[in-house]
Parts: sequence; structure tokens; C-alpha cells
Amino acid sequence: MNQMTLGSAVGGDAPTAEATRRVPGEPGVWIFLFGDMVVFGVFFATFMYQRSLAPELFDQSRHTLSINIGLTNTLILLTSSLFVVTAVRAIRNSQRRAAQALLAGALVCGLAFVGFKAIEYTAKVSQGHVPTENNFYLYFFILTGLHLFHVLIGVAVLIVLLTQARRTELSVTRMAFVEGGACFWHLVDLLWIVLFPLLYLVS
Amino acid sequence: MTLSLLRARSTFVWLALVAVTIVSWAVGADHGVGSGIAVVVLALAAIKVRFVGLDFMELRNAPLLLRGAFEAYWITLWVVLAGMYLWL
Amino acid sequence: MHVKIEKASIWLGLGMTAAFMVMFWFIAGVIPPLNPNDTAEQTAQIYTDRHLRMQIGFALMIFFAYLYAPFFAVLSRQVRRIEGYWGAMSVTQILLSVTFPFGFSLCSVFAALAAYRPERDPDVTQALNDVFWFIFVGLVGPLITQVIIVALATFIDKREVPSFPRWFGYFNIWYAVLGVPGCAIYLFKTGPLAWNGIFAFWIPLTVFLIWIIVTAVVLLKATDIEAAERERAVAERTWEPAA
Repeated sequence: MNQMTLGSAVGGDAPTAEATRRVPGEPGVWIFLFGDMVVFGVFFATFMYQRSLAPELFDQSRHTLSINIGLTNTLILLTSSLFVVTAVRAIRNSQRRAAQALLAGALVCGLAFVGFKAIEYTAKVSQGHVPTENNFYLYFFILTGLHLFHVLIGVAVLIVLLTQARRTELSVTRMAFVEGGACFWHLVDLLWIVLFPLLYLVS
Repeated sequence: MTLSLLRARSTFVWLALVAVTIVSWAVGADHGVGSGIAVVVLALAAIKVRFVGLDFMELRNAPLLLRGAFEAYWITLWVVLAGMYLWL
Repeated sequence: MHVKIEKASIWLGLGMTAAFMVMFWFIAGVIPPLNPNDTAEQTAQIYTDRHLRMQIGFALMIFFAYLYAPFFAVLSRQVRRIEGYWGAMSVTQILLSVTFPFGFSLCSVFAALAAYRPERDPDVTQALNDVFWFIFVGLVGPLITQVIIVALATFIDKREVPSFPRWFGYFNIWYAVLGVPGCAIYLFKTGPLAWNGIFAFWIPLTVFLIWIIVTAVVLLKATDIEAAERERAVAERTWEPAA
């Protein structure tokens, strides 16, 4: 049942006889992931629409954001995703210890993201920037808040993945859950990859 | 053992993503309202989305329907957001 | 016979949803929603202008909202099938299903009240209007809890022919996540999280409509699966636990 296709193969697009196409996780997961991606797409577009109604206000407010925290958080999430995808490969190769270490690393990254977010929110509020200040800050807090909600769910998922990584062998269903959970974490990363430039750079 | 695991495509992709992130930040941090730079920054974001999907979510080897849907997603995202930025 | 009744219950849920849209959109005109930022006078004016439409629309909803019950009864039964007996999950489904029609009928009582006496103090009308939206848009907990339980049930269903396909579990999680923002309306009068906002109203409404259609389709299939299982049980003379 364990396919050799992915793992450490570099340049995996070559149509060799072994490279069968498979759905990461299971098909059902993608209903949820795509659904979330599409709805967040609508949120992004809504933000752009609101920006078009007051571009100077948005640009002005954008400059009051802590761009360094935003950048740091982006790099943190990217790194956590690397840890997660490597951990999944480790689980496939039955390298339990490595997988657990990598997932723990990803978990630390996730908690660091939450920590920095808390610092950022506190800093903004103490500078007088609250959601009711103007449309930019309203959407800033709502979009990052919704994303943070996803991060918290993701942290819970990572903890569950950690428990799964301790098993010596995983059934097909459990492996599908592990891959699906990993994809959810990558979704959290993906959404932030759009949110960071959208809120901090482009507004 | 962890080191050998990291000698893989996903690590190279990560390095590229980090580099692109820093470039977007340097380029986009101060560009004023309504400039073309924003379109570039959004394009860079869309490309990053693509690589997270293909190499982290492992969609590169997914059935064509799923992969196609994902490619359509990031392209649509960029077109719609850049379009709204430029023309609204 | 059982199968016919169950399927009729499912279709009734769909029909009720269509009726809800007609009642709230075309008759009462509360979709698109009123503006929480309106003054009491403005709100009272809307209720005065449309009072007959609103009274009729809300009266219909108050009467018919309970026709949602059979749909949720079937949903609860399917969860019971997965659980194997009337356990915590399926009984919770029933308990939360009790509150579901109230999410439509109770709020309608307040709105009908608001339209009932156009000559009254606008502040009172505004307060009654606020209660309508607070219940209609803001009370998201029951349904979200229900769908999370359905998702959980889908994932733990280890039988050979499961009642619900696995993607349905993920679908319910998607619905739950998107329905949550509705609870924020108590804090906002404008913006996307106000009761007329895109995050708190339009998206939850859209995903609710999608959810009920998808769930109806899945339930219809599940009813057939259960019917086949029942026939097999009769043939093999095996009995299911009574409760």
C-alpha cells in the first residue's frame, strides 16, 4: 500500500512507469481545503474592493503596521511547512524519531506565530489602532483574526499528527489523515502567503 | 537522518520561497498608491502559493483534475486581485 | 413505508428551505438585511412601510418553521445508526434539532411584533428588530455543533457500507468553520461582521443553502443504505438494540 512515488525524489514530474498519480490525503479533504481556499479568495477580493473605495486611507493605515512582525511570521510559517512536509516523508520511511522532531519543530513555529500575533495585536491596540478605527483596520483584524483561528486549529492538528508519528505503522486511513492534516497546515501557510502581501505590502 | 530527509525538493522550494518573500518585502514595502509594483508583489505571492500547493501539499503528483483545479485557483486569484487593484 | 416517510421528511426539509427564502426574501423582505446602523426612526419607517408584507411573511414562518423537524429527525436517526444506539452523539443531535426551528420562528415572533403596531415608539421597534437579527443571524451555535457531531460521526463510522461518505465529514467541517463568524454580530454595527455583513450574513446564508441541499442528497442515499441493511437484518433474523 505504501507508494514509492513521492518522498525524496527530486523533480517528480517525470512520467516514469512508477510515478502514479495519487490524491494527497483523501478526496474528501480537498472538499474542505478547496472550499476554504475559495471562501478566503472571496474575503481577499472583498478586501480589495474595500481598498478601492479609499486607497489613500488604506495606504496610510498600512504604513502603521508592524511589517517586520508580518515578515517574520511569514518566514516562520514557511519554515513550519517545510518541517511538516519533511515529517510526512519521514513517517512514510518509518523514521519515527525524525518525524516527531520535525513535527515538534513545526509546532514550535506555530506557537511562535501565535505569540508574535499576540504581540502585534497588543502593539497595535496600544497605539490606538482598533478594529473600529477605520475600514482598513476593521478588515485587518477580521482577516488576520480568521486566519489566526485557522492557525489555532492547525496547532491542534499538529499535536494530533505528533501522536500519530509515534506509531510504528499507520493504516491507510490514518496515513490519509496524517497527509490531510499536513495539507491543512500548508493551507494555513498558503493563506498567510497571500495575506501578508495583501495587507502589509499592496494596500 | 533528518539531514538526509532534508536533501529533497521541498527544501529547495523552501529556500526559493524564503528568497521570494524577502524580495517582495524589499520591493513592496514602500511603493505608494496604485503602482504597478503591487501587481508584481501579488504575482510573486501567487507563485509562492503555487509552489506551496505543488511541492508542500504534494499536488504535483495529484490526479490532473485536482492539480488543474489548484492551478486554476492561483491564477484566478492573481488575475482577480491584480485586476481589482488596477481597475477599481 | 418507512423509507417513503423518511424520504418525504428529507424533501420536506428542502421544501422548507425554499419556503424560508420565499418568506424572508420575497414576502417579508428582510433579505437583503436591514442596516444595523440605521436610526430608530429609519428602522421604524421600514417596518411601517412594509408592515403588512412583514406580518404575513413572519406569520407564515412562525407557523411553518417546525416542518424542519422531520428532516433533522432523519439526520439524528442516521447518526444513531452510526453510533449503534441512542448515545451521546445522536441524542445531542435531537436536543439541538429542537432548537433549530426556533432559530426561524422565535426571531420571527419579534419581527412580527415590530411590524404589529406601526404607531408605536420607534425605539421599541428598533429594539424588537435588533432581537430578530440577534437570533436569526447570531444564533449559530446549535447548528454548528450539530454539523461537527455529524462530521465526527462520519469519520468514526467503521462499518462496511457507511451511512455517510467520508467527504461529507470534511464538508460539514467546512460548513462549521464558515458558519462561525455569525456569532460576532453582537459586537458590530457596520462592516463585514455586522448582521448585514458579508462574513456574518451572506457567506453563512450561502453555505447554509449549500449545506442543506448536499445533506439532503446524502441523507437520501443513507436512507436507502439503511433500508437495505434492514432487509438484510430481517432475512438473517438479526436484531438491532432497542435503544
